[in-house]
Amino acid sequence: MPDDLPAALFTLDRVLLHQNLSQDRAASLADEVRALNDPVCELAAEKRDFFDEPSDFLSVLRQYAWSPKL
Amino acid sequence: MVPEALDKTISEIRADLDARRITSRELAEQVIKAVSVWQPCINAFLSFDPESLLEQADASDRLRAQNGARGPLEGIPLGYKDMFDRVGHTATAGTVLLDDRKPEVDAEVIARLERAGAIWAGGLNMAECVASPSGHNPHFGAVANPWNPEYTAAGSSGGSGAAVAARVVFGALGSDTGGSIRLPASVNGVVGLKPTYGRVSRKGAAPRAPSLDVIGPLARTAEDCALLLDCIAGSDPRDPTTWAAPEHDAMDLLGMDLSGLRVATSQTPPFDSCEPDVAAAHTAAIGVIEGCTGGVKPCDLPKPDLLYALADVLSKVEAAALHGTWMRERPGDYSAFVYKRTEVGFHIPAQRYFEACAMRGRFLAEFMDAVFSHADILILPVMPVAVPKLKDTAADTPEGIRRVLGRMTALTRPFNYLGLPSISVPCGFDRNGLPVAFQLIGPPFSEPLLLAMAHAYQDRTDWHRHAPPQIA
Repeated sequence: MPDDLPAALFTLDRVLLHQNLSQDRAASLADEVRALNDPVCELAAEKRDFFDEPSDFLSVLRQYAWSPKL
Repeated sequence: MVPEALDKTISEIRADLDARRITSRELAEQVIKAVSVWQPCINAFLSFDPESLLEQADASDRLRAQNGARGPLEGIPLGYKDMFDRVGHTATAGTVLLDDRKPEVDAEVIARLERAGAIWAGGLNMAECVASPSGHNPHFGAVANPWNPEYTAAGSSGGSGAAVAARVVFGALGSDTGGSIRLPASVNGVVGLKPTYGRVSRKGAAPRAPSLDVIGPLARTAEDCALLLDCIAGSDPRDPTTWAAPEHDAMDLLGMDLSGLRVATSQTPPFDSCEPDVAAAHTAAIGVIEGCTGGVKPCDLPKPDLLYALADVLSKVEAAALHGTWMRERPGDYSAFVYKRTEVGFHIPAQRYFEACAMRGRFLAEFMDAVFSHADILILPVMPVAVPKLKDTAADTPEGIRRVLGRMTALTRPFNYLGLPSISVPCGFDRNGLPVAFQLIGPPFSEPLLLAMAHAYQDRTDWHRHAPPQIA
């Protein structure tokens, strides 16, 4: 088990998946996670208000439904 | 030369079948011959059963003689990405994990196309676990591009794109989570439609990321895609994301007046970073579209790279959730590429997934206001780079995946997050003689508009009439 990842990362899934993880792979995995996590984290901090209701994506999609101008 | 019948579009061969100029049996025999020539070269099929195809063709000819055609696809050989349930067949989803699965009900799209009269040539090669645009599959071999087998047919619906381009089927089903219909359509020189999220039922289709996955057709023309879409679209109680939207048949609207249409394109990153030959083909296509609409104007697209990241969070987390048990219990049944690509999802915090879901409607609304409040359609390249060679998409390191495959999907994945429809249309060739395409993106459920625009473009150009060099 790599010893430089925070212990809190090791939920059951992750322990089972990563018991043979190499140090190199652990480092590159951490980079990949950061690359995905950080932009969304920053975006949420910028965009989301504490009182915002989560948007209902399907409703918004249907609200903007195209119709032909016949 | 391509056999004359196989070089025809679905609409053309339908007319021949209706007029009894050819039988479905004769068509099936030509398909069998063509597959025997092409399959060793491009590896497009995972399952191909000549006897079954002939039996289906004979049954179709009998039905037509007795009662007339069941629908517009009567007796026409199609293919499907090998990820759809068919009773009596094992869909691989490009992996060995599903070897023991025996579907008891047909996938909804399979059933709908059969009701329209389609007959099946077989299951088409695809990316392992629907997980990559590379064109490679470690279990069944790569799909090669029929224009030049050194190059990728892309993915994940690579077999669908290659088979349609090679004229061994008239059309095929694919699925698109981040570009998996549009990319194979683009690199193989055919038309591929990614419908609006919820337009087509996914019931009975192997998932990659259910909140992004859509099913759609690949064919040689926009008209054929319209015909196929009309057969498969609509609500399905077995897929609650589908919507009983006001249905407008795409075929009925194919000739709509586009003279006042407002078209937007983007000159902001990453859309301005195309390689020169790709940019030249795209610019020429815009010139044609300007000539048959109200004009093309530049616009700034809101945050395409962030939309990409948000889609990636959904895709990675959902794939990890779907594959967790197998990855623990059968890690040896995954390629290193798919394993590494999927395992990232186990480490994305739940907060990020929630945020990516929670902001999705808001970003769609912002995108609609920013782009579609002053344009009807958006035109962009499908891929900013020339078609890569298969050896260059064989990445198995995270850096390689990001470098090569991230570039391929840079312009497609954002629209999966937004759920918007997009169609890939061939518009020329790159410096290596491989196809180039543009994509048209529209408001939700605007497939008839996109298909009409693509149809008008194909009326004025002949890129879709070019066929790959035939094998002796």
